[in-house]
Amino acid sequence: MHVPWYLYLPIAGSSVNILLVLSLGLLVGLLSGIFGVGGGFLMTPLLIMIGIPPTVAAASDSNQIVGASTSGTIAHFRLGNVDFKMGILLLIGGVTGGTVGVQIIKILRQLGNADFLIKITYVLMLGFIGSYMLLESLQSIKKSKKEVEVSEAPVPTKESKYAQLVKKLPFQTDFTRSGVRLSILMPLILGVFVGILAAIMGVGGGFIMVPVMVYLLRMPMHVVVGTSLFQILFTCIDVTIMQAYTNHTVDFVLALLLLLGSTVGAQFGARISKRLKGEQIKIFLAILVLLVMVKMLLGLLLPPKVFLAYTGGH
Amino acid sequence: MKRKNVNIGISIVIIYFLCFAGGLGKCANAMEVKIEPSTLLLGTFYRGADIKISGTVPIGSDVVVRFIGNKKDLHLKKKGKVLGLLWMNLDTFTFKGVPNVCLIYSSKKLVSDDKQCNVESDAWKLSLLALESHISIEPEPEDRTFLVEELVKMKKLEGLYVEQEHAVGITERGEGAEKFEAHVKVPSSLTPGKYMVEVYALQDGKIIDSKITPINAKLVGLPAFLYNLAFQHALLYGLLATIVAILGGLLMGVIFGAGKGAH
Repeated sequence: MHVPWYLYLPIAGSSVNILLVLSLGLLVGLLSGIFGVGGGFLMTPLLIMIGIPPTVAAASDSNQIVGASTSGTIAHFRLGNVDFKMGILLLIGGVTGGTVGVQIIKILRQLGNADFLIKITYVLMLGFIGSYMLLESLQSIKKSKKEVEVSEAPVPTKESKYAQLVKKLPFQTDFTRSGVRLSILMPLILGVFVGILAAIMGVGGGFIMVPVMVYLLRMPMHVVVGTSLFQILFTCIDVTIMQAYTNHTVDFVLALLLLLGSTVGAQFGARISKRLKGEQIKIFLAILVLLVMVKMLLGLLLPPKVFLAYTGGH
Repeated sequence: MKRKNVNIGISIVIIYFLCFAGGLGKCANAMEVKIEPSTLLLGTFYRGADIKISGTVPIGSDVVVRFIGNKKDLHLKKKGKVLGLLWMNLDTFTFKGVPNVCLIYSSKKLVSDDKQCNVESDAWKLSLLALESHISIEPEPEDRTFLVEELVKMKKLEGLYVEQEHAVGITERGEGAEKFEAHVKVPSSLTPGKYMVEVYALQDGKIIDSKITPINAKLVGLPAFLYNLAFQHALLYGLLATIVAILGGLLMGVIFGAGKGAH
């Protein structure tokens, strides 16, 4: 029996191997489920590599992330890992920040050399976040081992200036699922900050949002992953509808194939995530962030194969 | 009277040669082209196509077969070094009149290594090298030739530009004509629209006959339905794509969550 392994994508104007796209979806869904990131940073370049036009790759990826993050959010909700209150506040901030960020990028493009600034910000940001997470996680693993060995009574640590400042802010409220008490201004302000950066860098923001939730909002790692997916779901719904309406760049067939892979991957990812310790997740995510940073840096340092590139992607 | 008859006789002979002998000669030498299939159907399982182009050309001809797509404007960024170290996308250029597909097959090498000798020949004008004279770039760059070469390199990497010599077979020589056959491999990255199949017969580098036939690539079935929906009902398409993605995610959640209680 002849099995058709190829499908024609009407919007991308290209034909793809079904198994290849399903595998890409599975891999990225797995990462998304484990780390709570959308996976756009990985999926879009992979799709471009198999011949999908950059604008269609990015828009169709957003469409599939809607499905993957729905699947991932449900899986994490079942495991008790989604803080809806925190998620909604961060989302409001994120949307506001995204709108501001789009205006900033317009001004930067008019000034010229915006791409340079974007790429350098990207590499520095990823390098800083990745290194900090890796070192911090390794230190806390060492510390916990020592504590087990010595088994001394815990020594009360002195509150940092940051913690003191956070406590002074008005509108303090309990975020039960995350087990923290904070001012509602914190997630709103940090959401705006991440939204601006995400818009400037042209990414979904999961990569920045996860460390912000861990280190600045002091949320437990498992709740961070679930809550991050919940936010990504809404961001990508917005992007999909906007891209389909204004640019006609969403290829539904491609998104559906990726979705089949990624939703299954996200479910397995959530289970793997639950089995891993918070510090382990942080270490793996830090390594992934640093790998992406190295890849981008090499792209900047090595001479290109072709000295021309399509406009649109970063 | 006799002289008049002689004149009439000569005229008849000339007309005979012009009408019949010339006509027959032309029939024997004229180019015939057959294209199979005559339409490209871009259906759900389309993954590129093989077009058989065959026919006859005058004896002793070299044959060039070209499959050319619509001309479009492309906005591209030129890469260059910043701070003497980092490769970045710098200036944007608009390349005007770039064919989206350009597949060139020939029965022998079109351009010899001595480029200078070839520039004026018809064979050179049919090659990818001649694209430079058809494409305009805005704003006008200093390194125009280099940029067009890079454009061709990029399109070749995408599989949209191909130049193959010895890819048109001369199969049979008859009286005054010879048969040719070429199999054009149309890439899987093909957008719907009108394409041109051009066949040229060349002798000593000069075109002696040619035939240009349009070939339509059209969407059929599910791709046609989705394409129309995406462009004519964009908001509905976006909403449906989102809803299906959410339902897909929910379905997977239900399948994987079956038998597991919520926390």
